[in-house]
Amino acid sequence: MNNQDTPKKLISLADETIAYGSKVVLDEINLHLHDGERIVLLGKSGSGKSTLLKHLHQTLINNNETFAWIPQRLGLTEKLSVFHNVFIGRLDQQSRFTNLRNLLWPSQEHRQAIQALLAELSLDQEMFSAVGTLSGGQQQRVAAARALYRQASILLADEPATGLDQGSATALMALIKKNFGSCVIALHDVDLAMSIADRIIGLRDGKIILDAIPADIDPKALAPIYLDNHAAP
Amino acid sequence: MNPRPYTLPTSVITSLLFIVSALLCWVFADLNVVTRTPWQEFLRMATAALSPQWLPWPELLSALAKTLAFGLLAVCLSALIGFFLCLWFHNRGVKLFCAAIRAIHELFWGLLFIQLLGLHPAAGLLAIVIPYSGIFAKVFAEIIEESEAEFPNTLPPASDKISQFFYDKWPRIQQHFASYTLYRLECGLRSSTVLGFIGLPTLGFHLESGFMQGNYGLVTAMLLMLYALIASIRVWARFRLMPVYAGVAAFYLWAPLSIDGTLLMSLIQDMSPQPLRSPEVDWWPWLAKLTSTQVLPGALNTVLITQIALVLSGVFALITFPLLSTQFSSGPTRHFSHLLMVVLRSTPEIILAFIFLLLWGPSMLPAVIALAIHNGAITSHLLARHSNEVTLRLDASRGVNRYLYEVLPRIYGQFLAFLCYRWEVIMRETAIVGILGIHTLGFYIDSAFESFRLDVAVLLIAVSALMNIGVDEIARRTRRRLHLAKQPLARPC
Repeated sequence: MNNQDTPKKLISLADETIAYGSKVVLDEINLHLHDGERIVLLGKSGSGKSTLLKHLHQTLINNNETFAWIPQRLGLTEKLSVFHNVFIGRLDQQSRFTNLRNLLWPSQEHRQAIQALLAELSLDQEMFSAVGTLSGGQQQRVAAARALYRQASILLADEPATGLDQGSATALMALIKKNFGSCVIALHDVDLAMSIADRIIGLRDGKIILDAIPADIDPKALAPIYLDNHAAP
Repeated sequence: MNPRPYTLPTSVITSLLFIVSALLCWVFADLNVVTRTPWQEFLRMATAALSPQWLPWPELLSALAKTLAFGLLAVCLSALIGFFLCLWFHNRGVKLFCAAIRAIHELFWGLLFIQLLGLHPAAGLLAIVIPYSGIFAKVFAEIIEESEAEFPNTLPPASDKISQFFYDKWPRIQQHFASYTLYRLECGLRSSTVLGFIGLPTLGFHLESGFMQGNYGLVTAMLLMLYALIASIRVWARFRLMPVYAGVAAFYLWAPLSIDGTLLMSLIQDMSPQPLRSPEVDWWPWLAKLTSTQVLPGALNTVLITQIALVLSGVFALITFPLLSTQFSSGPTRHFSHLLMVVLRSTPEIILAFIFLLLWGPSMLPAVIALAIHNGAITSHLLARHSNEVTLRLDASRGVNRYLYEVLPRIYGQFLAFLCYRWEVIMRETAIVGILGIHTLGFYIDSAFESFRLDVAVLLIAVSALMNIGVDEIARRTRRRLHLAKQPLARPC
């Protein structure tokens, strides 16, 4: 990480409140993402993680940043092959002609690039299968592959390890760590969070109740995040 | 290990087959512009469109009222008959009977009944009621089948059939029956208008004379009345009021029908093939001559136009649906395009064909373009509705990329299903544009009626019915092969 200069602030939220009608979903949020920083959001479902991520998505667009995005509902084009779904990650970086041509018949060059990427996620066998025919875990990896293929340095991801077994989840986190300098990832698995985060932010009822670096976190401090949640990890 | 090789998806291969067949047809089809000055005629039409010429109001009112009365009464009667037929639709005979009566276009039924009954209202009514009953029966049967697949019967198993019907089937399908009947009303008004082309006193009668005399102001006025009539449906059409409307319509159209028994018998005799009636005519030469001079050329031209129009209507829909879709277009663009598409699909294809015929002269081109535009506009509307239901992720691409990678793949299966449904419709309509002089089966049928060769007319009508049933079967198999949804969103006529 860059220690000489103060790293650039990619996102800066100060006392941000979001409400739908009278229902406050995010309450006076203060959050700054610096270049080269990996933030993990922890919190049970309904705590405001997804809303916060969508808000960050809009903020990055307003700031004209190029970034990758893994939403909770993957939004893959199920009728298209894995190849095409990954290819979508770079549609805006290529000419319309290239996009049209590869929709009809994938070029050798792009096949090789995407196959190499898929191999890292153990998906290369399925390169030309329609995404709709894959299992949930496989689809989750396709969404991750699209984000990785985008070659952005920033990632916003909402529960990217859902449906993955321990091994694949760890491998995915390693890939994310290798490929994205800065990221904000919502997770529910504390161990995974510890493995990738520079900073952990705990959310509860739309409020930040924890903001610390992993080394400083006493596992007990995480308990309030999951309060009322009997299935706390 | 290498992944399995890339192959084109079945849907793409199917589309390519359609395109290849259309290109082949293109080679054999006569698609020339025959007139020397199409633009001049177009200018005349365009200026006339700005100054509609209204009929004297008693005549106008009567044409309007007759159009409405024929349409209303025919749709109500067909819904009723279709309803009873659908209860026995599991019977193969009933199913086949319905397929046969709906395979013959209402204009052909009209020509037949005008021959038998003269220009009596009953001829017009039967012309619409017969094919529509077949359509209603099929659609109602499908509605029941779908609802049974979705919510299986929960009544005590020993309940009698009639109780089962009123306690189980009717409550859950009633609403669909109502909405389909009201929807069909729009088609009924169009059919009733078009029957004017063969002599009934509806809007189409004045439309035809307007075209014939080059009085485009009159054409414009009649078309505007038709649009207004169709647009007004949602104001007055209520399912519960239909019997009342039908009663008023029946009273209005009522005319004593005097049938000359001997004449009718001789007409019916004339319908049986000539070799049966006159022993001096041999079967083989008669059939051979008919086949080579009328059946084959008529059928071939019908197929050529159908295939080209089918593919062009698909292309038209794929190009225009983004203009109607919330995924691509903003409010004002959508509203304007919507209005344009409503006009295009409310104009009966035979009228569109007439307009293009006047512009370009007698070749297959006017029929192809008219059918492509009319059916394309319907498909485009359905596709846009379908695409509006797609939810995309926040970072979904825009413009062409969104079209190619997000929306099109999601709706393409549905698009092919819509096209398969249009296939049979387009073929049925291709046959009837022959009445305008384009050499499809309809041309030969019309000529046979004009020269009082009823046996030839009946034979040619049977050929066109068989072709429609055949293409319907091919479309059904194509849909099954592609695993497409059984029923698209709506059931347009």
